[in-house]
Amino acid sequence: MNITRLWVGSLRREDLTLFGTGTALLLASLLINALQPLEISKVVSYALMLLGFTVGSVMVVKGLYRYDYIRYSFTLSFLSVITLLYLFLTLLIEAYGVPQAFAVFLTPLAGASIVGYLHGKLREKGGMLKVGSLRKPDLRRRLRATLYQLDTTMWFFLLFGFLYLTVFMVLPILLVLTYSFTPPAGGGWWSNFYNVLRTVSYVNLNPIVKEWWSVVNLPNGQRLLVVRGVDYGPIINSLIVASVVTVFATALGIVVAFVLARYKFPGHTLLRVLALMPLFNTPFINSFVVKLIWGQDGPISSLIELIFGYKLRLEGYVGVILTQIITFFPIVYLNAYNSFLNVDPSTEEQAENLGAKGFKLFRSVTLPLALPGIAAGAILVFVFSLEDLGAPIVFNAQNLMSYRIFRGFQTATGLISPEIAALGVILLMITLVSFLAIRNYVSMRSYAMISRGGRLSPRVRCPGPLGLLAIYLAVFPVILFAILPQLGVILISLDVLKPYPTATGLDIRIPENPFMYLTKVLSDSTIYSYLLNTFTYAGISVLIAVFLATAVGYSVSRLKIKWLANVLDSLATSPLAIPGLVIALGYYYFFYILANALSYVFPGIYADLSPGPTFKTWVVFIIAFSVRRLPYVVRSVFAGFQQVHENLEEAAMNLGATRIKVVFGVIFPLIVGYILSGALLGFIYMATEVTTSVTFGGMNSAYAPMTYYMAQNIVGAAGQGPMLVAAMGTILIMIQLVVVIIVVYVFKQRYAFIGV
Amino acid sequence: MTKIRLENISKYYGNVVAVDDVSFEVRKGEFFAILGPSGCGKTTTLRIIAGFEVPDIGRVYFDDEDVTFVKPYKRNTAMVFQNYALWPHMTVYENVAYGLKLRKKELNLTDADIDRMVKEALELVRLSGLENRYPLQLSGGQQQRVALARALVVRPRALLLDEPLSNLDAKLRIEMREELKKLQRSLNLTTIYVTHDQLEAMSLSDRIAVLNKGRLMQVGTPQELYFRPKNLFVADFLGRSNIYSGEVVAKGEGYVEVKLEDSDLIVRGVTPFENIPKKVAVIIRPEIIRLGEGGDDMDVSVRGVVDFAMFIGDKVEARLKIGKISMLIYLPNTYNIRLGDEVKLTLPWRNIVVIPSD
Repeated sequence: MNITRLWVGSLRREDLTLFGTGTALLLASLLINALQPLEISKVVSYALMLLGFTVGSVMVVKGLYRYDYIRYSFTLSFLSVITLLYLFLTLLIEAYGVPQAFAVFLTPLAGASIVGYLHGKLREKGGMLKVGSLRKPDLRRRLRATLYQLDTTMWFFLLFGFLYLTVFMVLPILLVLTYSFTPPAGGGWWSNFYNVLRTVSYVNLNPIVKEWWSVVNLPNGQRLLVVRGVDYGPIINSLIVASVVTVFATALGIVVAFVLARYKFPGHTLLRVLALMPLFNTPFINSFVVKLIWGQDGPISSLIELIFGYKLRLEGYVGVILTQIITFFPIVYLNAYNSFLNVDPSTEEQAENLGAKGFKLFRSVTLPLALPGIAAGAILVFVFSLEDLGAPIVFNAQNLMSYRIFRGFQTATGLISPEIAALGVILLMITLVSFLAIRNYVSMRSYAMISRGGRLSPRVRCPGPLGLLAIYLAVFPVILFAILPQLGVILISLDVLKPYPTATGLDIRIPENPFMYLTKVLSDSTIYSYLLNTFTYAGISVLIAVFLATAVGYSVSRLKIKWLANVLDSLATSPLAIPGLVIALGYYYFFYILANALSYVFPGIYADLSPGPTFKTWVVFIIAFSVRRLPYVVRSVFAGFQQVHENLEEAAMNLGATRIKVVFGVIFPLIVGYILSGALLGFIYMATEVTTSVTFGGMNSAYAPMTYYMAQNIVGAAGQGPMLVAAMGTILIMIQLVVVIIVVYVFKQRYAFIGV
Repeated sequence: MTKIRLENISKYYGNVVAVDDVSFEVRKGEFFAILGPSGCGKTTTLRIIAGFEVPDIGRVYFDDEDVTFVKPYKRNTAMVFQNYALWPHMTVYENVAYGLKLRKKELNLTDADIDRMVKEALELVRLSGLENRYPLQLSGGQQQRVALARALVVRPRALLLDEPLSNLDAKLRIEMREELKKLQRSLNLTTIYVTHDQLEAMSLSDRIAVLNKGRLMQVGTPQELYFRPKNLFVADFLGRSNIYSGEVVAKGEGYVEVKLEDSDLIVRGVTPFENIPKKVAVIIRPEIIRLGEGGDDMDVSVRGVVDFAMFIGDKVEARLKIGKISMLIYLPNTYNIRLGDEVKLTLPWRNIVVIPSD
C-alpha cells in the first residue's frame, strides 16, 4: 500500500471533481500560453492526444477514474459524453490553439471513459456467464420459443412498422450518406467531407471580424450598438448557437419549473399558463416579432437609449439565439416541471431529516433525481436549435448548417450538390450522437419513478419575502418577455401593431377593422388553399401515424424479444434526432431515384415524382409529416399501452381471445384517450412543420403548405405580407390552444415533451 | 378434468435461469400448489402452463396431448391473476360473459344460455345482484370473486390461480381460503395454485411442489413435506425448525444417531434416505419437543437454560441454551417462565428428521 493510493482512497467524490476542475484550468492555461504562438504541428498534437489517452487508461487501471463514477456521478457522466463529442469534432475540423489545448487536456478523461466503459461491459459479461446453467437449449428450440410470440397480428405490426420506417426514413438517409461520398470531378471519395470540414467557407477559425458587436454612428447623430455575433463558418456557428441556446433554455426552464413546482404564491396559475404560451408554434412570424422588438426602433432599444445613450439592434446569430431560447425553453420547463413533481417527496424529507436544506438539498437530492427528465428536454432543445430554419431565415443568419442546406435546395441546378449532402451527414452525426448518448444516460438513470408507493403530492411551500420579490421581479418579467412573440403575432394579425416601426418606435394604434387579415386569409382562395393543403396533409398523415404508432407502440410494449423491440423503439424515436433538413435531403434523392426507376415501367410518372416544378409534392409532405412527427404520436400511444397491465390482455387471451381481438376489443377502448391525444398533438406538430414544407414547397407551389407561404411572405416583409402571415400564426395559436385544452382537460393527459 | 404433466421444463431470461429442469404431474381434479419464495420461478411455471411463456427446454402435456406450443387462447385453461386483471371498462356481467361470448359458436350457445351461465357463476361466488357494477366499485374480495367467476364460467380444463389471495387483508384471506377449497371440491376441477404463503399452500392443497431458485425441491402432500422434508430448504421454508449440523455416529433399525456439532449432545432421529452420508443436518420442530422427561426409551432428554422468551398469545416461544447450541421451543401460554430457569425436555426420536447437509 503506497502513499498515493492511500491518499486517493481517502479522496471524496467532491474533492475529485474539484481537483479535476482545478487541474483542468491550470493545464489549459499552460497549454494555451505555451503552445498557441508556436502553432504546434500535427505530429505533436496527435502525440499529445495519444499521451493523454495513455494517461487516461493508466488512470482507470490505477483506479483513479472509475467506471462506476461515470455511471453514477452525474458530473462525470455528462462530462464524458461531452468530452467525446468535443474531441471528435476538434479532430475533424483540425482545431488549433485554445480549442486544441482544451482537447488535449480532455483526452485522459475521454480515454478513461472509453476504457472504463469497456472494462465495465466486460466485467458485466464475465459476471453474467457465471450465472448461465449447464443445460442449454438448442438453437432450433430457442428459435421456436421466440417465434411462438409472433402471431399473425404481431407479424403484421412488426412488418408494417419496420417497412414504413425503413423505406421512408432509413433508406432516404442512406441515400444522403451515399451521395455525400460522390466526389466532385477529380476528387477522392472523401473530398466532400474534406471541403465541408476543412475549408474556410465551412469552418473558419480565424474570422476577419472578431468582435461580436459594433457601434455605428447613425446619420442623425445617434449611436447604435449592433450585436450580431462572430462568424466562424456554419459548423462552428451552429454548434455555438445550439450550445448557448441549450444552456440558457435549460437554466431558464429549470428555474421556472422549480418555482412553479415547489412554491405557492399569488399569480401561480397565471404564471403556469403564461409559461406554456411560447410553446405555441408560429413559424417565422415569432422570429419576426422578436426581431421587431429587439430591433433598432423597438421598445428595448428605446429603453437602452434612455439609460445608456445607445440604440440597440440584435442581428444575425445573437438574434437567432435569443429567439430560440424564448421558443424552446418551455420544452425544458415542461420536462423539468414533471420531473420535479415526480420526485418522491419522502426522499427530500429524508434528506431534510438528516440536515440538508435550501440549495444543498436541491443540489444533492432534488436536482439529481429530476436530472434525467431535464436532460431529455435539454437534448431536444439542442437538436431543435440545430435544425431550426425559422429564426435563421428571419435574421438572415446564413452561415448556419440548417440555412446552408436550405440554400442547397434553392440553388440546386440538377441534383443537389453532394457537398450539401456531406454537410447534412455531419449535422445528422452531431444530433444523433448527442441524442443517443443522452438517451443512454437517461435510461441508465431513470430512477425518479422507481420509488413509488408513498404519497406523491409534491411539497409546496410559500416563498419568503425575498423569494417572492425574486419571483415577481425576475421570473415574471422573463416569462412576459418570452410570450411577447405570441402576443405580437396576435396584435399584428389584428392590425393593432404595425409590422413596420416608425423612427419613434413601434407603431401601435386602434384598428378600424381588426379582423381584416384573418378574414382575408380564410376567404382569399389563393391564400386559403395553402391552409387547406396543410390541414389535408396533416389529417392524412395523422391517420397513418396513429396506425403506425399503434403497431410500433404495441410491439415495443409487448414483445419479449428485447433486441427487436429496442430496434423498433429506436427507429420510431429517432425522427426526434434526425434534423428535418436531412430528411428533406433524403426524400429529395429518394424521389429522384424512385421517379427514374419507375419511369421505365410507367413513363408518365417521372414528371409527377421527380423533384422539380412538376413534382406532385403532396406525396412528400404526407410521408414527411407522418415520419417526422411519429415520435409524438408513438409516445402517447405507447404510454397508453404501458398503462394497461399485461395481465388484462392475458386474461382475455386465456379466455380464448386472439390477439387482434384483444388489442382492438379490450385494450383500445381502455386507451382511447391516449390515442386521440397523440393524434391531436401529432396534428398540430404536423401543421406547423417547417423544413420539408419550405424546401419542397418551392418546387410546386400549388401543393405547398401554409408554412411555405409564411416563409415566402416574411422574408421580403413588404406590404400586407407580415400581417397575413401573422393571421396564419393566430389561427395556428388558436388551434394549438384548443388541442392543449382538449388533451389536458378532456383526456386528462399531461402535456409534456419527454421525448427521449 | 385434466391431468397436467411438466417434463424437464427450463426457461431462461437472457442468461438468467427462471425455471431449471422442473418436472411434476398434477392429477385429475387435484388441488396442487406451487410454493416458493419470490423469484423462485413459480409464476413463470404457471405462465408456462397457461401458455403465456414457452419453455426453452422440456414439454407440457394436458392429459397426454403435447401443448408446449399451443397458443394460450386454445388451451382452455382459466387463470385468476394476482391483480385480478378485471377489465375496468366492462361491468361485472360483461367481464364474466366475455369468455362465453367468444365460445358462443363453438359451444352452440344462445344469448339466454350465456345469461343463465353468467348468473349461475355469479351465484356460485355469491355475487348475485352486482352484475351492473364496474370493477372499481367493488371491494377487493368482491373483485377477487368476479375474477374467479370469470374463470369458472367457461368450464376450463384447469383452473390456474396466481397468488389470488395475496391482495386481500388477513381476515378475508382466511375466509376466502375456506371458500376456495369448498368450491374446488364441489367442482372437482384440476387446480394449480401459486403462492409464497406456506400456510395457504398446506391448508388448501392435496399436494405441493416446493420451488427454490428455479429448481424443484420436493413434491408431496403437506404432511410429507412437513414431517419428512428431503432437504434443508423445505425443512426451513415450511413451518419453523431447529436445524443443527452434525455427524452420524451410529445407525440402527429405522433410526440414526447423530452427534451435534459444537456440542456433546447425541440425538436420535429417522431419515427418509437409505444411504445417509456422515455429514448430516438434524431437523427438530419446536412443537414436537415435549416438556419434562420420560417417554420412549429411544427419546433423548436434555436440560437447557432459558435464554430468551416471548409471549405471543396462544403460546410462549422460548429459546434455550443447551451447552453451546440454542433451541427454539414452544411452551403453554400459562407457563410462568423467567430467564435463567432450567427446563427439562424430551426430544421424541420419531419426529426428528435427519437429512444430508447440502
